[in-house]
Amino acid sequence: MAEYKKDIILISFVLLIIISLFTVSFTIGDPGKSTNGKKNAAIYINGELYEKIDLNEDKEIRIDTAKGYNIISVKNGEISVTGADCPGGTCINTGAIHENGSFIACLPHELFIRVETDDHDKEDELDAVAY
Amino acid sequence: MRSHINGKIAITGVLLSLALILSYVESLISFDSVFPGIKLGLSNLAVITALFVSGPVYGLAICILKSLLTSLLFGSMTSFIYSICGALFSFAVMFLLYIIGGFHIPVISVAGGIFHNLGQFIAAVYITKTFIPGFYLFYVAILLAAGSISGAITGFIANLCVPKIKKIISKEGES
Repeated sequence: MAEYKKDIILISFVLLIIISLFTVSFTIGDPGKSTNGKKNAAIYINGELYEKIDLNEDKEIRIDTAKGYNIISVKNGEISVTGADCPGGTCINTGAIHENGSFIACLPHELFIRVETDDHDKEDELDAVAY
Repeated sequence: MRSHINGKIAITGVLLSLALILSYVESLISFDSVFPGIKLGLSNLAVITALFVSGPVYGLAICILKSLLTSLLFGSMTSFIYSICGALFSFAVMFLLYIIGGFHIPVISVAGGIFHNLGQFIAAVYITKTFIPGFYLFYVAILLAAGSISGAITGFIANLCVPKIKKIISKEGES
């Protein structure tokens, strides 16, 4: 047992960090929790807000940037990336999302889509807890 | 002595090609629909094996060449940035634990897996310039858990491989 002393200390430390991170993130707000409020999806490009779209209206938009294109479609309250010329295709494989806080990221095009609700500003609330 | 170094270089070459094949196999198994960005990290097996069989220099060589070659073969410039960030982060931590000593291979691999994910996450935050504090905390927790699970899997496999490869090398040195 003495042989594994360092291993056990390190692994328990890692487990402690993981458990506490989960606990803290669930205490300050469950990102997977869906709300009944009006649902929006925010599209960020290069860290800046590009467009906010209502998930209750079906539509399809095409975003062209210097790095390539992404086709984003909204259907039945869900948003998904249906076409892109990025090399990995992670954004398409992520599929359709609708839960508050869930996201689609296309890292090659620096594109980030996140489902948000309008009824309360979650980011400000979290900032108040964190600092 | 000279033949010993040649043996190490040969083993490093074999491990590098193994890393490339594992990276390709990995790209076929996608977890994107479960949680975007999660990977098995099987190619880390080659890095750990090189670190323990041949030494840190060979481990670092595989680490850098693996990122460069997989990006050239299957990816792009962007994937190279993410890959090298994760690989160097992971290698730095594994090297540190290797120098300190007393840790076993699976545990070192778990640490490597976690820091690989952290390195890529930091690169992603830096490149996309997207930062949402409370939400990212949950994502980091998922990344740490995924990193330790995949690290444990590759670590236990490496733990089986390392003594056997060491035995082969020492036999070659004698003859």
